Amino acid sequence: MTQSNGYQQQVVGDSYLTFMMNREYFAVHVNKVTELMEMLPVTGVPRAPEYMRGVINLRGAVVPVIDTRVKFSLPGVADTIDTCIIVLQVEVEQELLKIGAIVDSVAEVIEVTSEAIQPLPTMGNKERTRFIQGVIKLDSKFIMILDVDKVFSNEEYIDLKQVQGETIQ
Amino acid sequence: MDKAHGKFLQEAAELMDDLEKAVLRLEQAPRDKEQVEEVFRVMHTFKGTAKMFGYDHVGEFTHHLESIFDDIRRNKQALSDEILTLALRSVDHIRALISQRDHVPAAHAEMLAQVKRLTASNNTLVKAPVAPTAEAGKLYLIHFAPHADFMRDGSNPLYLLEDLAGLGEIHLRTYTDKLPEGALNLDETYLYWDILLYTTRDVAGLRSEFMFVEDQCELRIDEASDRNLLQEASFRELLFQYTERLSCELIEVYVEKDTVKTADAVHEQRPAHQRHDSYQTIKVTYDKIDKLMNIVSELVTTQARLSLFTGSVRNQELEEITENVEKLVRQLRDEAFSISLLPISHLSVRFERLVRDTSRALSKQIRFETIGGDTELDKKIIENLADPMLHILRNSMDHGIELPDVRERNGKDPVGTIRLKAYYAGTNVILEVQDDGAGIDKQRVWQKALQLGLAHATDRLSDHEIYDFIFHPGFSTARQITDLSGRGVGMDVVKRAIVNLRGEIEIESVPGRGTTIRLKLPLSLSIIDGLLVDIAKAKYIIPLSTIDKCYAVDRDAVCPDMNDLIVLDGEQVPYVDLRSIFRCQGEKPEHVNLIVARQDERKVAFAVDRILDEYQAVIKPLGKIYKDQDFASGATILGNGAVALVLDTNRLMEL
Repeated sequence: MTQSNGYQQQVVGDSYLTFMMNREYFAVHVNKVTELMEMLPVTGVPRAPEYMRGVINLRGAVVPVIDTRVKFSLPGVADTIDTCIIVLQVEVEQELLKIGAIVDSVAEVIEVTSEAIQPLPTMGNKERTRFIQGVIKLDSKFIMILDVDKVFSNEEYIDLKQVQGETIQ
Repeated sequence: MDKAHGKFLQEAAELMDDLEKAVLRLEQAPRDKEQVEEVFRVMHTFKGTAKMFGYDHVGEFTHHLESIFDDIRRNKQALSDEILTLALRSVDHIRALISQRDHVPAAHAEMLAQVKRLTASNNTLVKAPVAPTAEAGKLYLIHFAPHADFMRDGSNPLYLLEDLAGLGEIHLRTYTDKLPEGALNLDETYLYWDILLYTTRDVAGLRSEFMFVEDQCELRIDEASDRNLLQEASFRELLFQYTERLSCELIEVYVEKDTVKTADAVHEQRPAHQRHDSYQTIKVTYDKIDKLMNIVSELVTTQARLSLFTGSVRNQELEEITENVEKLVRQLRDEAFSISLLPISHLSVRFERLVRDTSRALSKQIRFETIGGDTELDKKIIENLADPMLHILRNSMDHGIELPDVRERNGKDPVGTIRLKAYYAGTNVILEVQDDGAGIDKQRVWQKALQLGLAHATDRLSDHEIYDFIFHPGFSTARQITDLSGRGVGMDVVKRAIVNLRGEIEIESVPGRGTTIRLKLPLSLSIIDGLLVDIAKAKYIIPLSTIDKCYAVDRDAVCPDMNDLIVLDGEQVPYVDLRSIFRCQGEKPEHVNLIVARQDERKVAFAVDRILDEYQAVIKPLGKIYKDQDFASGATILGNGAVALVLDTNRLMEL
């Protein structure tokens, strides 16, 4: 978006990985994505919040995975063949951590110029929309760009319906 | 003392590296006050260390160097390029000084003089035009050739040169080859100059000096260097020998060559055997070792998978290959593992210093001995061991060893001894701190325990149990609170630190003969022996070191009742059903296993569904986002690639 690799974006625009949850489109900046994994067996950690699904073995490293649906207060579904783990580089308390985000399916990588990104309507409740960096309008779709650091370093649940209520008006 | 000397050399080398780095960083950000502090701090640390090891001339030199930065720190002097250059050269010089303990190089006097010259408090020269601004100066090469009719309008090249000289440090080279053979025309100018000027002015500023004569001369101003080469003897020598016209290229070549020459000179000053040594060890950041260990442990688990698969295939060739791979992997694991270990002697220099300083402060005479200093421990353990060990030593010196006259009266050697003994015991390392002091007064510990309500007067406790009260928070029997210890914070903190390292601590004491504090530590934090258990179809590892005994019982025996106690071997033991603590769903099995873990005198039985196997686990951190789930001290990857959590029984007891 605006902060990272300033030079490139002026020339070609930034790349975003888009994915789906509950039939809605979302995007994260590709700089934040380290890799995509098919669903792996997850070892649960007892007594952790529900959205923290557990840990996976990512080629020898133990990486926590977040159930993004639960985190976003969406109805839970059984994993399907499309269910994916997006491994993200997240800044938690000034430290870069790898965190896996379980999403319904991964769509594609799109290139977007900064003009194509619409800011959030300012009149809304800022508290609820601070996880969203902006909205891309592509064809007839609205794609919400997630601020990965804010979403995944935070311990609270995000009520996506309210966020959407604020955004798409 | 030889080992200590070696340690000093290593420390000095590291400090010089740090100093070099700090000065270089300061050069990047000359206005950064913190960076000035950092430079000052490293110098200060080094000064102390050097003096302590008898390198007085190095200490003195560093002292003067430090004064410069102290002045800068206090805004008494501005940071200049000259100072930075000198600081860096000083680093090289100190390195040379250290490598030749008994021989002071000839350059020392000159270096010392240079450093002294720059100390503001010694000298007013620094207030000359070059230094007062915080900006670093530059060396310019100015070609100045007045036209023949230069003086016709009353301009005088000499005045100009004088003005230039006022801007900074100057070197003039006057060329006379245009002088005519015969008589001179007094109105004409025949001379021309190459001028080297070190100043904080920029090119435009210099050009403005020539404002009125610009069309009456040939003028070229080039930036030649960031360094004030005029300060460097070898450059002055070069100027003397070189008779051609000066050029920027010449200076460039000099700067490059000079660096090489300087480097060569430093190398030559090092004794041959040391140069050899420096290639015997290489420095690797711990990150890299960590990565290596990660890959190795991944390899170990992959290899376990391969063995599993081979067992099911029954192919002789495959079996042979697998066996070879297994052997190699084991070797690789052991080698990689040993890289992450450090010898105890790594710490003992610090201990020696502490004993030396503290015994003087206490007017006691204490000898410090290390036995088994080459015993190795995981780096992370060594790091976390320093503070508790320093505390134990302080205690021994303060409360253990008596004053010399007291010792003599009791028929002891007036010089007390503290002995650090390290040795391997299985997969553990035992560290003992023995002193031949007064020992611990059991009665006083007992009285204090009663006073604090930790025990009842009717309790019958073993010596061991009584000494254990010392580890209780707020427990201190010292009659006098001293600076060093005896504030009642300490031994409990020590104990916690050791327990966090999955170690144990115990005290043994004989009144009048001395006290021994014994630490039992795991060799490594990254590999543990554990039991692989099953709880509601999930696998967990419980470290063997905390396990006392295992039992198989009927499920009904651990059904929640009033007191959560179970009778094992005729003893009532509290139990924790991990299924319910982990909020597991589903039908419980008919039989459960109880694993009795012991922490000090406390026993707790943990109910698991099944004990599967013994397992050597490579522990990996769970990561920050699981910080609230600290009953899991980490995770490990099983042979089939699945992740199993490693449980911390001490934390589980607190749930």
